[in-house]
Amino acid sequence: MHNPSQSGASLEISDLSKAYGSFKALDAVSLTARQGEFLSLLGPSGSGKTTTLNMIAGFTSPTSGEIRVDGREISTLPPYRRDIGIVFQHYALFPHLTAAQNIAFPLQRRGMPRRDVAVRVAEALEMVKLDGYGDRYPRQLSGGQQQRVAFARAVVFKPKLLLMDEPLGALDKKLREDLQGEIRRIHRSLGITFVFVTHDQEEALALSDRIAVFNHGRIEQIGTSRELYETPATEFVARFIGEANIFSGTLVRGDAGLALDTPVGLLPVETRLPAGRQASLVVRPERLEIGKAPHAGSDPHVPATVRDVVYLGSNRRIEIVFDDGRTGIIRGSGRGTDVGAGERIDIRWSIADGYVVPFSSSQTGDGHGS
Amino acid sequence: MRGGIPRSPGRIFAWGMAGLVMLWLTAPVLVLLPLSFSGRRSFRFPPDTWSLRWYENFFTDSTWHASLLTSLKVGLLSTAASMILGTMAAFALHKLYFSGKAFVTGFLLAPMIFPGVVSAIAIFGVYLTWHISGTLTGFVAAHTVLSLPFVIVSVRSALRIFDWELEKAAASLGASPFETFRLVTLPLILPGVLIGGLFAFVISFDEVVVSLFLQTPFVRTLPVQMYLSVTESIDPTVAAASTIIVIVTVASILISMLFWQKRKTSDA
Amino acid sequence: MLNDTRLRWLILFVPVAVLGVFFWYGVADSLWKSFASPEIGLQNYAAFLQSPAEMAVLRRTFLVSIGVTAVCLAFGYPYAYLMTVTTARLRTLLMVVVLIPFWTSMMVRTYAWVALLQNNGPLDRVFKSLGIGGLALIGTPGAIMIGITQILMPFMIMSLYANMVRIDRRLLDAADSLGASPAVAFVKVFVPMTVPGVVAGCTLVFVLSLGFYLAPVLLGSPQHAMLSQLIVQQVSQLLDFGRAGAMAGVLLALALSVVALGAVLARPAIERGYGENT
Ligand SMILES: Nc1ncnc2c1ncn2[C@@H]1O[C@H](COP(=O)(O)OP(=O)(O)O)[C@@H](O)[C@H]1O
Ligand SMILES: [Mg+2]
Repeated sequence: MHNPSQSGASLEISDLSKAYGSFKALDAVSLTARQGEFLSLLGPSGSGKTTTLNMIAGFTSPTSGEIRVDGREISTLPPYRRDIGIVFQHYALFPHLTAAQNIAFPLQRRGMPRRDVAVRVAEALEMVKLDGYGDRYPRQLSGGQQQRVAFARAVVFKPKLLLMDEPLGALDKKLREDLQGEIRRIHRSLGITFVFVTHDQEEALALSDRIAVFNHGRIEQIGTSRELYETPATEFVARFIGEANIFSGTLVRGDAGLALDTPVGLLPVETRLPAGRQASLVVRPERLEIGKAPHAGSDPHVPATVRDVVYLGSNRRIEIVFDDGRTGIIRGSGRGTDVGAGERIDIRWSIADGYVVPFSSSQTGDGHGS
Repeated sequence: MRGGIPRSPGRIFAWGMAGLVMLWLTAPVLVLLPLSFSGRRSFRFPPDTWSLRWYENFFTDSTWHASLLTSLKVGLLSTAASMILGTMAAFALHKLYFSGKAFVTGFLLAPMIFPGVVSAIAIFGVYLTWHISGTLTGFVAAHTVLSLPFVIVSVRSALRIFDWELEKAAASLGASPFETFRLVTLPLILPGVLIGGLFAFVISFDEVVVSLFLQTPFVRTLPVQMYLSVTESIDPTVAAASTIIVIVTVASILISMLFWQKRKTSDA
Repeated sequence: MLNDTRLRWLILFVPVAVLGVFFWYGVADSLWKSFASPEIGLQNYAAFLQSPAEMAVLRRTFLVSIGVTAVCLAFGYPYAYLMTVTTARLRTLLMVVVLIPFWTSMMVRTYAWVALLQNNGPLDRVFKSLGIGGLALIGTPGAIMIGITQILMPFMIMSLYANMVRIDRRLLDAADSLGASPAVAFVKVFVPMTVPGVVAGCTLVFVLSLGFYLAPVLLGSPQHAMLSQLIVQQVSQLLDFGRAGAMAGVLLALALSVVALGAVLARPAIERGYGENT
């Protein structure tokens, strides 16, 4: 029913900052979302995601910077003139109105005739699979149903931009996965530009066209799921997206080329960073191979001790401890992974599977991996 | 140590005290009921003859029923005024941050702890020079300022549990701040506003000291009429009036409670 | 726009202005007159403080208020305590008995005491039949106290109850299990935790009783006048706003210092973590 290329707005944020006193909640953030794109803002709690969203919505005024929607600067518009749909974390449904009245609210504010309102509300309820629930009050609906009403209410007036702040945060895992599927489906059918805030990397990976990774009020990297996973810009991104084995040290130029001098040994790497720099090497768990004896070839390898093996059906997840006491993870299947706890092994990877990121001292947040 | 059955001597003593308190609090009002049906012009208790003549007198003697009418008028007008002003004050206090907010809050709430007589001479002194003493305007103004703090307190506690995210939601859906207040905030804090209104009405309907100064033979509230009657003559119409006041008060409480119940069930 | 800060200030300004004009202006005016009517100076205060008769009234007002507060506390404390420990059904009964008079007209309640306490009235005859004649209460400070106490008792009980319901009863059980007898546990553990409620209730009752007018007029007598009667007399009979303002000023100062004292007294208990209460 819509032409996707027309119903989504572009969003450009440049050098956006927000200071609370001397504390910088947001520090010169720039990002763009293309028309109809699904962009996620991902980061640990307190990293500035909600602050960004509040400024796009108009609830908070920026300390500096610009926000443009379809090229138009909106910072001076009050929230109720911005025509941006918002799904709140705790839904913010009006408790004194029924589901249908909640959904009708934005249409009535726009002076739509009563009959058209009824049609649009019915359509919206159908879209979120809640036909027949229109007369219920929010407290008579389950969490998932409330979430759907909130979603229907935020899109029923056909905004060109939809903001969602951890909309699935309060739901259990099964329900989240169902709703993730639906959000994707609706995104595709409406063609609206979605800006989706989450601290759950799996959710971001599953839903987004692109992800902006936030940390301490800054953006660490913006890219597709694949870019973030395979070529993280920083150690923080490497830890936050997926699982990673990380070795830190100094780049040195050896006989066979560049290598990283780490507490567990000299590890050959390929990188454009110059020798002498502090850096970290990121190797994803599924890229590691297990050998029973020290590797003889030129590939990087490290001795380790198996701590635990978790069978996950088709593959297994092996937790290991390196000789410097740091932990790592291997994922894989087949004969090579047939090891037991306490066993001494030698792990190796192809030099091209290691990815070097510059060393950074600020490593916080609920990162995964080693 | 649990339960309502006295076992320890301490518990028996406590129940004894509580029994006295219960008698103390309720007995006097219960005494009035038979007095109002007395057949004689006396406060003799219990009455030896019975009649409805004091009720009849209440509704035929214009000094009595006119004062009831004045009380209702003053009560309703001042309740409306203090509900509106109190909601405004509580709302603004909740939304504004400034140094000196504690002072402004005190300014708005202090009349609550003012000794009644102090308020009375303060109000009377200036209303007299403004020529609104003895007018309906004067009564409404005085009762409004006396009940305003109670409305503010009640609305403030409703605002404290109001979810401000709902205002953001309304704005994001295109509601102007005024529409947001009318369609979202006000309906949700209405219980607090109504409880404040109930307080305001009962306070106004009950007020004697200030009204005693402001009254004239032409504009006189019911409690003032009762006061004058008690101090001037033995007239059991006072007992009938008391019974009527108790009925009006209990009725206004019951009506608010029913209204409540209805709101609750229509929501459910 | 309600979001506009300027509009919020306007919304605040209207009630502040109404209260300022119709209440505070009068308060300021009567205090001003106490220093300036009929001429600038402290003569109104001097006249009040130097008149033995008027000082006796002030003393009586003070004593009656203390008496009322003490009686309210003595009877209200066990009552509020029972409300916290008894069954839900009895608690409702106790609550309703407190709240019904609270909502009943003060004029009605005071008048009821007039009917009850009058010479040859029901109570008088009960006493006479018991052989303790001549105990005419009406017209005495005792009658005033009975009337005021009845009206203020609910305030005391609700203040105490609001504090007592928040006390963690497990602390008492803990004291029990440590071998303290119930009475010792009550005095050493429970009572100290109710200090904020006691202070709040006593402050409220004392301050309110200072300014009572109805009960003293209807139940007392001119020989046993209270300060509020004196103030009313100055205004309504002598039209002396200066003298009345001075007395009101003293009464107000007394009330405010009691409130401040209550706040100071309650603070250490609150800081010990027994919770701020109403
Ligand atoms: N009104 C405020 N005053 C002071 N600090 C704030 C305010 N709002 C947010 N912050 C701070 O800004 C930082 C970013 O917050 P937020 O954007 O809510 O993070 P996120 O949504 O990523 O969890 C946090 O450290 C938070 O404490
Ligand atoms: Mg957040």
